[in-house]
Amino acid sequence: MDKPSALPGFLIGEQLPAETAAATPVDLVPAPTYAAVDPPADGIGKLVPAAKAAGRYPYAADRAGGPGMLYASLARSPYPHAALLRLDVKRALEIPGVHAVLAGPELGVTAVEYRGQCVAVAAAEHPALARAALDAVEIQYAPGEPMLDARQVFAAARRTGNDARISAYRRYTLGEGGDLAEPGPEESTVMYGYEFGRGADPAAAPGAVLAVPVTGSDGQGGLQLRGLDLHTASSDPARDLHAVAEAIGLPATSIRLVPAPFTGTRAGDDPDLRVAAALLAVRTWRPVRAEGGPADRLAGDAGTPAVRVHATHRVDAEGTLVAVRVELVVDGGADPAGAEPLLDELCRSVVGPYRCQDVEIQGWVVRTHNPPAGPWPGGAAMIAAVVSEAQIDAAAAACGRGPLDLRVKNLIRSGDQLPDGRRLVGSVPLPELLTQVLDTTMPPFPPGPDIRTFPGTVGRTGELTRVRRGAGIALAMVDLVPPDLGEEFATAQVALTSDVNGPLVHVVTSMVDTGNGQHALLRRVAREALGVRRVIVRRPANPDDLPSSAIGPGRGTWLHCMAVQRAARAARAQALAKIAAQFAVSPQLLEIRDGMVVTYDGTLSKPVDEVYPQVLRGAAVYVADGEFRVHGGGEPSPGVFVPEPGTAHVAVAAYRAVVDADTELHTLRPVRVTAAQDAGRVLLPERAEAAVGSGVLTAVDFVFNAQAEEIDLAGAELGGFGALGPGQFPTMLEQPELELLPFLESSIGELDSTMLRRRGFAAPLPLGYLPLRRAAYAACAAALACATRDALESHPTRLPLRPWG
Amino acid sequence: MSEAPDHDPLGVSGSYAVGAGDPWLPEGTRHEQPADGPATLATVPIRCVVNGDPVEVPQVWVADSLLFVLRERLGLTGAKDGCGEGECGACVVLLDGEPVLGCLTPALAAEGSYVTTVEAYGEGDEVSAALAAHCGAGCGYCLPGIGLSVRTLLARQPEPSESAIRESLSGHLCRCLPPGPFVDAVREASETRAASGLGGSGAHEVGLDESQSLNIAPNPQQPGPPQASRIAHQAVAPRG
Repeated sequence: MDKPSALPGFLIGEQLPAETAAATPVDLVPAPTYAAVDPPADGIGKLVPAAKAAGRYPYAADRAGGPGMLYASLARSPYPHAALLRLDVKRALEIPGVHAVLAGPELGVTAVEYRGQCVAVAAAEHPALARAALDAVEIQYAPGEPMLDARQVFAAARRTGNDARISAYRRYTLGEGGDLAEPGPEESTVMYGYEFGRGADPAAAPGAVLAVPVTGSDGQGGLQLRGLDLHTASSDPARDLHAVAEAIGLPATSIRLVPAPFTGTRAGDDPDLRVAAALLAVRTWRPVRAEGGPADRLAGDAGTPAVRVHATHRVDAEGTLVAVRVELVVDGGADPAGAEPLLDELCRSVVGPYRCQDVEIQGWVVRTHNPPAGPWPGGAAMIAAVVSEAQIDAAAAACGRGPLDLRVKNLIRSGDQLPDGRRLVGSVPLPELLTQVLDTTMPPFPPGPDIRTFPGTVGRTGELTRVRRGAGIALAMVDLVPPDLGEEFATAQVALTSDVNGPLVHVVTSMVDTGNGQHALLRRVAREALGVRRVIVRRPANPDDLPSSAIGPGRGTWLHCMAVQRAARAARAQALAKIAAQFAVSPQLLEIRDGMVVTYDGTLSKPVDEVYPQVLRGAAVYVADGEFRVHGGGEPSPGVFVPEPGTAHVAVAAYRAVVDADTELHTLRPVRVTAAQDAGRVLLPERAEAAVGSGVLTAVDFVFNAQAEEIDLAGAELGGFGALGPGQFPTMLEQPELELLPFLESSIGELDSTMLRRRGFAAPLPLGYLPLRRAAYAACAAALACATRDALESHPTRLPLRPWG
Repeated sequence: MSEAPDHDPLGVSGSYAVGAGDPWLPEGTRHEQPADGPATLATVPIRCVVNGDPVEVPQVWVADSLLFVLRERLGLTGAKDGCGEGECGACVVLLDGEPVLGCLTPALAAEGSYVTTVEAYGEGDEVSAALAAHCGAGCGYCLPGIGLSVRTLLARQPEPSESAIRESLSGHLCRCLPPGPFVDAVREASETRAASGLGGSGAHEVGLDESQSLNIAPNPQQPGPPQASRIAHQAVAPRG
């Protein structure tokens, strides 16, 4: 293991508090070595799924910390707003088996800003001892008056003119700015306020983090702490490593982040867990594992703020959308800056995939004493879809036309303007997707005879005569490259070589395989470019060898695939030049297609397995580096993708949901979701299907899960049963049937052919897991809401839905 | 901290009390009651058969969960710690052939019992093969637990309907994949079993070697209700 080499001589021991550094730790354990710390790089082949099913896949929680490992536990504030008057950890430290307790200022916490804020952490030899230690920490709070309702905070700020709690404001206008003062003749106006509660992540706990201190000789016969290995699920190691380093006050070079596979649909482990494990490991010089428990679920990075949207849409007698005005308030919680990306995306997309000449959007983020909101990946597209689809339904009813009619009439097209003034480019195949959905059949009605197919599933079913069916169509649009994007880049290295078994390609990438087939995608990209079946993908031993920037959610697949594709094509060019010389043709005429080396005129057509051995004789290796950069502005150049100023690229989806509602018992059942999506290009069908499935599940959770309110830390309102039945989170029994129509492969393809090809990029690439999942989440949530509205013949405006109003 | 004397870390601490002299505690229970201490923790040895091997785990705290003992004391990390409150089903193991939630089942409930975890199936059987083939694109955290529920289901209903499959898996929260792939996987496993002539309870085939059970026969001196300790854990039962 090459641990010390990754740490250029930094001695952490010198920076520890004097008494800790002086004390020679008892039972100091040398850092264990890990034979296979990275997830196996097979992606979706057979090995990884088999390891998952056999329970052998190495999640962070499964990695042995080695002898002497301690268990960390986190204490969270019961108050949303309080000063910390007194902290005493003496009694906690007296408990045998407790090795370290850090509280308050030692964690950088001087006052409580939200309920569930981490105020103390402990490390002990048994999790129960760590919890007992936290129970023994004496914390005296001075609770203040919390501000939990964003609406009240916002109203008070407007009333008093004191906007200290308003942290961000955005305004976009198009045309005459959604002026609704003078309705024209035969124009109808619909105006609704929508509320989105905090969602809860039912996908288990916030993961686990293992921190292992790395020690070495201090040259005087003693030991010193040289650094830290941090095992954690992370899609962006560079960003997360710096966040931890900053939080614990160590240079990033002394921490090595070892990516662990993801659990559930989370975007990584809870930052609180990472910081706790790292701090305690540095303090105790022992491996420390921090596992998230039920209490950590929402307080961590649930990242789903409450959002209120007030939308006014005006249509003329023909059903044409003539003006839209939207005001929206995002509850940013204790860290409102984290919610600004959400506000930005929401404001840009809240009109939905519909064109309108006169638009005015205003949005605010307010600071409250709720947990930090975070960017809520996918949330903005979901809220935008729910609001725009609900408004279109309402407008259709107001002007006496069909909801489908209104959608088709106002559908956005390539070249139309978004509220922020950008023009849509590339293909926007919404009509095709809509047609696909409409061509499918509806599920039979009434449900049954199996009672498990009734609304309420088991235990709360009523008579079928009271069951009403609703269907809803929804369209969604996800912004792929935001206009204010800073520079993002990914790098890769590809080597074409051979061994006794024939040609072989090594791909070294900066992309982390979190166990969901990321490296399998890269393997396909390299295979396609070089025509070689045997491709080995791995990350570099030292991540600094292949730098990459922090990449925003949803662009990782694109950037990394592009980097690999560029490197592979450069290596191919070298090999083709050699081949061309041998066959006495110009290298420009040669291509590799479907595992064959061909000339464009067909005079040469040979399998690569035949051609490569001739150019790979001896120790011949063709190596090339690839890099792909994207940023919002500046000059485009080879390897850098800059969207043309004022243009927008989107991923789109069209969904139909069918919902049965028991109008007597107020239970709902999502019966079927029909999904049509544009996937850019599908290289790994199982991965694309999983992305859609996951988006649909998240949507069902959010739309129907009234339990989300129960554990809302704001504590304002306690919901009762979930709308689906007496259960808690929707289970497999309540999940709808998912009818996934064949993916359309166009939008990125279009982007490629018009923008990228001109700049030297070629084959279209997949949109990636996250954009697909976001579009599915958005369109499915909106379709479920529309279908429920149809079944109940009312206009519920609150999500999660409560069919009893 | 580091100067602390070396002793049983679970002997004294905290506020996790166990009433003194509980008659049903197994033989060998260490139960300390300091004069002015806040409370005591009792540790007991546990003997059971795990995946066919008789094991004795010394010094198990009486409130330790079965999941903790399996993962942290025996190193069997196949059962996962998901939500910690019996909601997600990632921790399912078989206790005497019945699926139970490892995170809510006291480790003491395993005394004298047969515990089966996913490791019992080694590199995999037809169920794990079907799950890997259909559900490998998810994160996989729920798969070991789901596999055990599927084996129990197929042992009872060799050809389950879709509703039965969904119901039997409703104790597992998967948020990576919709129910479809799971239903397909169970059907495929069912067909493979039928084709290979496997019937009855595959779940019960592991670890039920009668010759091994002699070591852990219930102690007749112990009047306590071993059955009662089995009520405490919650089987992954259909809801409603």
